[in-house]
Amino acid sequence: MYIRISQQDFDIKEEYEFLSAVDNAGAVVTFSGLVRSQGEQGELLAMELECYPGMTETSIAAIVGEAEQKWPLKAVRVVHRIGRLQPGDNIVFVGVSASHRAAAFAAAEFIMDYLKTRAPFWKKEITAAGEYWVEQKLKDEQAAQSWKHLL
Amino acid sequence: MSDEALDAAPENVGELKRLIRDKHTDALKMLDDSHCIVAVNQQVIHGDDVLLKSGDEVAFYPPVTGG
Repeated sequence: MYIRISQQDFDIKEEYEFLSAVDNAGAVVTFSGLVRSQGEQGELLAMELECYPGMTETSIAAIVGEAEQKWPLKAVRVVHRIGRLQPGDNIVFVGVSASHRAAAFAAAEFIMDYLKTRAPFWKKEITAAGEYWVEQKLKDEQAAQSWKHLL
Repeated sequence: MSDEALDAAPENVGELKRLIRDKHTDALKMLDDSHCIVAVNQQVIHGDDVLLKSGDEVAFYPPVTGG
């Protein structure tokens, strides 16, 4: 598995090339999350992302480890940005390669659902009217809980 | 996030919370929030009775919003 937390942007083509170069990969699923132009309280000027250095990386590694236990995966790459981002910027990349598509689709979604609810990151939205910390959404926790039947 | 080294030796997480409350009255609300997450040495733990030893890194943080 490859995990990177960085202020720098990622290159989806480069990430894809790593995932598809794995021996006997038959399916690659990639997800990328972007900064929306509309925040919870209006048009966004910017977003700021913080993490808990050290713990953020290890908690993502634990999530990817769980995914590797549940599905036969060939490679997993997760990149998450921190710092100040603009609308339209990339925030997160999750890419999974496997022999067959079912495992790749499921693992990519599982990793995102868990990352959103377990990995220590916090978003602050900045609008013309002021700035505020984003609150966790119930539907994100419900999405993570929905995988419990597989445990 | 902000961090601070404590000279005291709280026996467990509950005692540490009390020490922090005495020092930072504004932390009261967050520490008592049932959604507040506690991590000791970067592992999430549950319950105030988890024991602490000198050098432990304890973090209190709100529900996460990455991705």
